[in-house]
Formats: sequence, structure tokens, C-alpha cells
Amino acid sequence: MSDNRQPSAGSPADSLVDGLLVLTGLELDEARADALRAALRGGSGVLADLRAAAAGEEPVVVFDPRWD
Amino acid sequence: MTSALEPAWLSATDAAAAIGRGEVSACELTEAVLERIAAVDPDTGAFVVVSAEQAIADAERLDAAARAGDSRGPLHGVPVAVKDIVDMRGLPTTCSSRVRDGHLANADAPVVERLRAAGAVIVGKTHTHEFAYGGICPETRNAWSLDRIAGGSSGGSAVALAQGMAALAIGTDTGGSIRIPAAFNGVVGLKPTYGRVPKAGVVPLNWSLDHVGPMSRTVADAALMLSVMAGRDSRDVTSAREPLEDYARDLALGIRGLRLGVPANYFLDTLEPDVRAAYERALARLAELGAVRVEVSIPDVELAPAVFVGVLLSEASAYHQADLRTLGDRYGEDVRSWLELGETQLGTHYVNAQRARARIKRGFRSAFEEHRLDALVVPTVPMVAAPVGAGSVTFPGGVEQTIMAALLNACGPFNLSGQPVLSVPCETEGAGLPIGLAFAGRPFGERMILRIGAEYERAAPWAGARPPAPAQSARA
Repeated sequence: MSDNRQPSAGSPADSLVDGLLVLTGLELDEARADALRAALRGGSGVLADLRAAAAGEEPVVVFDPRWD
Repeated sequence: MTSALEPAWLSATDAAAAIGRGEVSACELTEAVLERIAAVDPDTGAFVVVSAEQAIADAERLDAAARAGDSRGPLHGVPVAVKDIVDMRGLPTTCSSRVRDGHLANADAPVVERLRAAGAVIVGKTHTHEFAYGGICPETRNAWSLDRIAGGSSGGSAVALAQGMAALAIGTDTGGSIRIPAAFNGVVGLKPTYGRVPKAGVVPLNWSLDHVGPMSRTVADAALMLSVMAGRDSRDVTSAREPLEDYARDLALGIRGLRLGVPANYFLDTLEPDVRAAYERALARLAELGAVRVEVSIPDVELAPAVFVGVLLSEASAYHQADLRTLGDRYGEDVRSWLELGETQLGTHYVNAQRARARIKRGFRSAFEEHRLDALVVPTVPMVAAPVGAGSVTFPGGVEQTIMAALLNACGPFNLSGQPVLSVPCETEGAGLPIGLAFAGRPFGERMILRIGAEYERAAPWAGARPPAPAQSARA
């Protein structure tokens, strides 16, 4: 089910991976940042599965307005 | 065999009865367990802290009450261990992490309140994989072989039980953390239905996946402990309003005619050969006991690993967001990396995971309803306890998985569905390591799976087995 599309080095999507790391606000040394980049690039197939699986479903967690 | 001459090995049910009959005192029982901890735990590393003085003082009060004809409840004098992500007033809740240095709990968690009110003597707090975020529990060694992992995250609780250092223990389970160490150490672990036991006062890993439950050496003890722990508490908004049951009521009914599902997909895809063989023998035994074997396919369960990770990463990182920024160096490397990865998950990932989760729940429901199942039977985990330091496991056919993935793939689907699951000891493999067998029930169907587990326990060759003394299994 997984597709294996990954951002290629230097592509706009690859730049977005770096941008995402900046957005977290974490202070990462280069080794930790590299590990995260690799994990993110490798995770694209899993997320494609998740998008397909979620289609048409309501989330399990719903707001409960009861007071008690 | 357990006997009154070995109080540390009495089941909780037998211990409470023996105290009630005056055959052993709460003090004698507590002292026996504390002696066992002193003798064994330097090797096994199950306990973060042993509350010896407080336990003796509590036992003395219980003995005085008993002499006055006052039984405090069904656990009067029973020694209990508490996983150290559960608050106990006046003690730090360390979560086996340096991040928690200096913490002190100012109140007991509701589950601790309930155990104390039922007469339990709490002997100490047990190690967890850091913040319950992992399946290894590195501070603790396996009760059956010190060169093997205890399993986690509730590894300290499982090892304490397996080595006679407590009669009952609190565990928690977000992706298998009660069931994994129960299977690896040859004890009983029950992940109740989501919300059945309140989680207030328990440090969260995942608000929507966390479960608190009993661990024990016998199925009857798990039923007894659940009876004490279960029930709504307003301090936990997720705790369930479903009526409570007498969880021990059906333990002697047998399983003749019950319909037990055997999964045709997913759960049996990757198993170590000894686990597969033990599972097949267990199915044959259940059939001999009168159960009806029903082959079932569970729709969409293959989605579970992606859905599980989608929920797990985001919720865990949300809870730890502040500490990761100020105390990041204090986390262990594995947990820190998972938390950093969770920081990068988009909101859409998390919401899609919670949407897809509905399909997991619906898949189990349809299998149970279509085939009129009383329970689903699966190997608790696909492997025996791995050697300390191993990062992956290789299954037949050369399929290699990280240990974390192998364990979460087996256990996580039931955290997503919220169903109750009981793990019982099944067999030991060739090297003497335990193998677990799990019964998954319908939501709030704890009474049924306890009934099945009790019957299997009576018939299984495991009954009465004990691990070797730690000195006989050298620490790596």
C-alpha cells in the first residue's frame, strides 16, 4: 500500500523538511537534525497510507459537551 | 508449588485468605517479600525504591485491625508493587527518568487510594521504560534470564511478580506495556477496556491510548485486583461510566461451547518458530477444553501500525514539549529521538490517524459480531525476550523488524480499539524463556476473558512454574 515517494535532495519538498525542523523550535545539533531528516524522508509512504485509510472517517476523539 | 511455608510466593487470593484465617500475619508476609527483594533485586533491578519501613508500619496497623476483627478489604495485607509512573503521596514519581529529578507527588493516584483502602501493603515502586515510552525497560533484567530484556514498559512490575517480590503489581499499557513484560516474564497481565480503570495521577504517555491495569501471578488475582481498581473517578475525564461487574464470578465456569477466534490475517504473519508452535498447542488445548475454534479475518487491522504511530508520536510529544526544550539532555537517547520525531508531525497526520482508528475498531467489531466470538486468541507477542542490547529480531523468511516495531505491531491494535486483553503464561521455549498467550474480548468484556484465562491456566502445563534464582542466570 505504501508509496515510496521521498523528497529528492535539493527539491522544494526537501527544503520544506528543513523548514519543518526550524518550525519545531528545537535546538538540534547536526547529527540529531540529520537523523530527523532521514526519518521524515522515510516516513512519506506511511503517511500516504494514513491519508488513504482516513478518507471518509470521523475522528475517534470527539468533543463531549456534557458537564458531568 | 506455593505453600504457606513460602509466604512470598502466595497468590494474593491465597495470602488474603491465609491472613483472614490467622495462618500468616500481614507483617510476616511483608517481611518475607522484603527479604526476597533484598536477596533478588540487586540482580534483577525491578524496584526504583523499596518502602520497607512504611510497608512494615502499614502491615502492623493491618495486623492490629485484624486482631480487632476489622478486615480492611479483599487485599488485607497483600503486598503490592506500583509502577513508577503512578503517583504515591510523599514519594517521587521518577518515571525512571532523570527528567523527573526533584519530583515529589503530593497525593496518591486513585488506583493507589483504592488499593490501600482494600488493605494492600505497598512495598515499593518499580522501574518502567523511561516515561513508559518503550518496550525494553533497560533498568530491569528478565526474571528468567538476566541476559534477556525484561520487556516494557512495565518491566519492573512483571519481574517483581515473577521473582516473588510482590503478589500484585500495577501496570500501564499504551501499546502493550502490561502484556509485553507479562509474556516475557511468565506472569498474568490484564489491559482492561479503555477507561475501565481511572488514569488520574498516572503520568501520561498518550491520553487516548493509555490504560492502567492489574498484573499478577494468577488469573484469579488479576480478577481480584481489577475489582478493586475499576470504576469511574471524576478526576479522569476518560474514565468509563459502564457498570462494574463481579470479575471473579465466572472463573470456574469453564469454556465449553465458547467461540474463540483465531486470526487468519496479520497477527500470525511473523512469529518466532517456538512461539508459533506454542500457540498451536494452546489452541489444541483450548479445543480439548471444549472451545469452538473459529477462523476469522479482521478487516483493516493491517492499518494498525501506521495509525498507532500517528497517534503515539503526536500525543507523547505534546505532553513532553516543555521538558524536551529545557531538559532535553536528561532524556535517554531512544525516548528523546521519538519525542523529536513527534515534534515534526503535522496536525493533519494526527487527525487522520484518529480518523483511521475508527476503521480498526470497526474491523474488530465486525469480526466479533459476524462470527459471534466470545474472544480472539493471539500470541501476546511474536517473540521471546530478546538478548539485552539487541535492536532487532529476525523472523522466519528473513523478515527483520526492530524490537519496538515487533512488539507494538502485535499489541498496539488493541490499544487503538480499546478492547480488553488478558495475557497468560503459555509455555517456555527451548532455552527456558516464557511465551505468552492473549485473549482479547469485547469492550467491557473483562469477565469473559478472565473466565477463559482461568480455564486455560488450570489446564496449561505452566501452572506452578517459577524462574530460576537470579544467581543461576548470570547478568550480562
